[in-house]
Amino acid sequence: MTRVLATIPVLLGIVLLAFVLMRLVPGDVVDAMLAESAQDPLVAAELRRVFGLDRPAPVQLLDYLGGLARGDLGTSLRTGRPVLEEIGARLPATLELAIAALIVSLIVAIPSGVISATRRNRLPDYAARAVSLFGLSVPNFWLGILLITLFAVQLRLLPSGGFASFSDPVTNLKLLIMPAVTLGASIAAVTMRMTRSSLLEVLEQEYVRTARSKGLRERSVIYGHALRNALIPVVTILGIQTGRLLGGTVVIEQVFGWPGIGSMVVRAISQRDYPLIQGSVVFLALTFVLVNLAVDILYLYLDPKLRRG
Amino acid sequence: MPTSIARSIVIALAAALVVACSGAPTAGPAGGASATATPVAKVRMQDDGTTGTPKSGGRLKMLIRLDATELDPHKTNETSSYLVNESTYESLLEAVSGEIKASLAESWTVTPDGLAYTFKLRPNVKFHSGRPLTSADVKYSIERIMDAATASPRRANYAGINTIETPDASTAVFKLRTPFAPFLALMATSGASIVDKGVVDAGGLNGAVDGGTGPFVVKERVKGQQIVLDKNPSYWRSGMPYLDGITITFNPDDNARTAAVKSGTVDFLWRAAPEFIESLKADSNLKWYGGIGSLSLHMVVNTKKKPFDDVRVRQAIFHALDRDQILAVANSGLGTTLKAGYLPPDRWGSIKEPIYDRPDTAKAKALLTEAGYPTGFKTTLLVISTSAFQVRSAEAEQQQLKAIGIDVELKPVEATVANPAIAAGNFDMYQSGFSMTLDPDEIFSRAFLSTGGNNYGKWSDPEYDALIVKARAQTDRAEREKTYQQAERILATRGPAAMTWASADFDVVQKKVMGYKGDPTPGYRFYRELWLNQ
Repeated sequence: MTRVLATIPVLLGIVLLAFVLMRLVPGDVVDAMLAESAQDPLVAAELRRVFGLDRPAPVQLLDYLGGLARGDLGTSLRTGRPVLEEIGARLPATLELAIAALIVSLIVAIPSGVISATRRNRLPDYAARAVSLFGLSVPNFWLGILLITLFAVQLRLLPSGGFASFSDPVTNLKLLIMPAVTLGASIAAVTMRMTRSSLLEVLEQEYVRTARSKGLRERSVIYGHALRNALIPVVTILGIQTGRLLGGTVVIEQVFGWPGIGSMVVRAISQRDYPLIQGSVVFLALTFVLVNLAVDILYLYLDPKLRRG
Repeated sequence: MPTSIARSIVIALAAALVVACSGAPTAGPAGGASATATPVAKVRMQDDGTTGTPKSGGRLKMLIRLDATELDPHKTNETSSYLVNESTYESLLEAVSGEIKASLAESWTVTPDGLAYTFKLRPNVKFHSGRPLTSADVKYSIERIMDAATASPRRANYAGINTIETPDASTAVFKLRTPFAPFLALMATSGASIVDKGVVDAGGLNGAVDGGTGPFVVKERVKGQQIVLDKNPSYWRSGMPYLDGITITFNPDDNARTAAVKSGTVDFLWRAAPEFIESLKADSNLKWYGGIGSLSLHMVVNTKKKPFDDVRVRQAIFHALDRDQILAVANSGLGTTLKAGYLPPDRWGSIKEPIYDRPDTAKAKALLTEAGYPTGFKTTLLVISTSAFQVRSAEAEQQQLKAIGIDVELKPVEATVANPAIAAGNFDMYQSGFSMTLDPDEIFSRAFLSTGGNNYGKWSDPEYDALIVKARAQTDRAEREKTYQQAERILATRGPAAMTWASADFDVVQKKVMGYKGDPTPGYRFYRELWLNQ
């Protein structure tokens, strides 16, 4: 409970930071709207009045915080729709991509991490480490373009990008494969390396030696005893990565035309759509906090020692 | 006589080019600086020869750069929105490759003094809501643009309208304060769309429902994902549109958009990125159109600041720039160099012969010395960082000005930062561009008139001002063009901006997409004539 309460000042700080930073950046939403046309001062003044931007900044902030306390994230200045609705419209796509990328990365990372650790300094280990180094160092967008060139342009097996609603699951999944693999790759690389080093460490522990000396088969030593403990730091890393998955997928979203929250925020920033930016930042921060809370709870399951503490 | 008036206000633009290049694929563009014949056509606005009888049916998958955030035709100034709106909304008139044609108004007359325009509405036109169009809708729509509360970015263009009268349900009479030659062109823009008041009152024009009369209807709109247009079954042009609908999706990534059309994921790639044009042209599964653009680029100096207040310094810059090199660096050579005014040589009103054909460094240095800067000076150049071709332009300009001793520091910033700084006069020089308009008056006025809203160079030249004001009242088209050519010459020789190049836009489609009729104005009304040969 204290942990949950402790998030409130954190969130407040984030709102404040987003509010102040956006107003420090020169240019406002009206400048962005009238960028291409003759700046009619009457029109600009009218827009600023309608948007409430003619009021002093502290008044705007208090007004925003008041709304926030009532669960009202405000209205987008560019679309006129409630911010919550805008986020809600983008959330399914973001969640789908994040979950799929996570699954892809786990399927690849955990087994290869185990193989790498158990066959340390042998060919499978070198191969897995080389691949993960590649996954770690290759820029996301480049891998994405590479996949598109191969699977869409050359082989014509998959569509190059876009998004289909869930009412068309086949197209939806086809469109999901490449972005999920691209995004999953970098996370898989981190997760694999963490699994490997963590498992190597655990395999040196005395209780593993004990298990082995009891005459247990290597398989049950690894999967029954060592891996479960080795996964604790992996879960931490995954928690942090999940936060990244939700907000930091901008480049992947762009390359694959995936209509998620990341690309919405980038557009909102260039348009100076203050409520949408602030609302999204609050939402992402809240999600990040909740994921980390979930990770803590997962610890309890993975590590019985923590349950008493 | 409406037709004679129509002819008198024809904006030739590249109409000649369109005709000239619709022939053999090896034909070079006619006229202008790019008249040299090349092995492959540089400009191609429609299919060569006959393409068969249009077939109805099928849905076109179109990919554009950005989602439209504001679809209200009176409020928006986004290209994505114009593209959508020209299929869903209609205005009293329409411009096809620069020629003014009837649309919702089937005929129109103007009084000899040029102060009253009477439009007769086409009968049997219905809004997408099913309600018949009347003159009250015309009055409502144009007055909505003129109302400051609408906050239309183009409100100032309508200031010359005094009253709109509706003597009967099919007649609308516009009374102007002073003669205004570009008036019909204004009524042909999508900004002057006639909208359904019922939809405005029910929830505005930026929702999931449009308030237009056009060939397509907004069926679905998912932010950031797609805009789905369906055929308007009761469209007044019988038989049109041919397509059952257009599904528009978005992707800002140049690589990804190219891949989408190469892989067959989409049928129609709107405005392919210049870096990929060669590879797309070479793809035998695809067809390309374009080669003419609508963006005119330039470098503006602050004439209120030293040393740019001295016309000789500005002339030194005009002479120092190598526009061929800038175009090559900035846009892979695609486009037209601007060696005189802001209009490319193939546009109506432009100067046909180059004033600055090749850079003349010696002359530029002499001018600088005369102005009291024999060793040059230090200055800054503002450029919008998110526009790759503008940054490349600025880099080329920086290098070229170094040759005459002008030490330029580049300041790349976001558009939302650059625009207020430019508007406030906080700059030495800025690299920018404007979309050329159907009638050149709009740019001549707002960008360079001493009282113009976008005259950020704070330039003032009474002779230029007088020419622009004179042109507005000239109903003789040939006379009006001469006036603009005089104005262009003043701009080019002592104006606030070094004109550099005009863009070339390209659309790329799958082989089965037929009926493309490119309009460099730009215009997107021809989508109603697209069909799929499948």
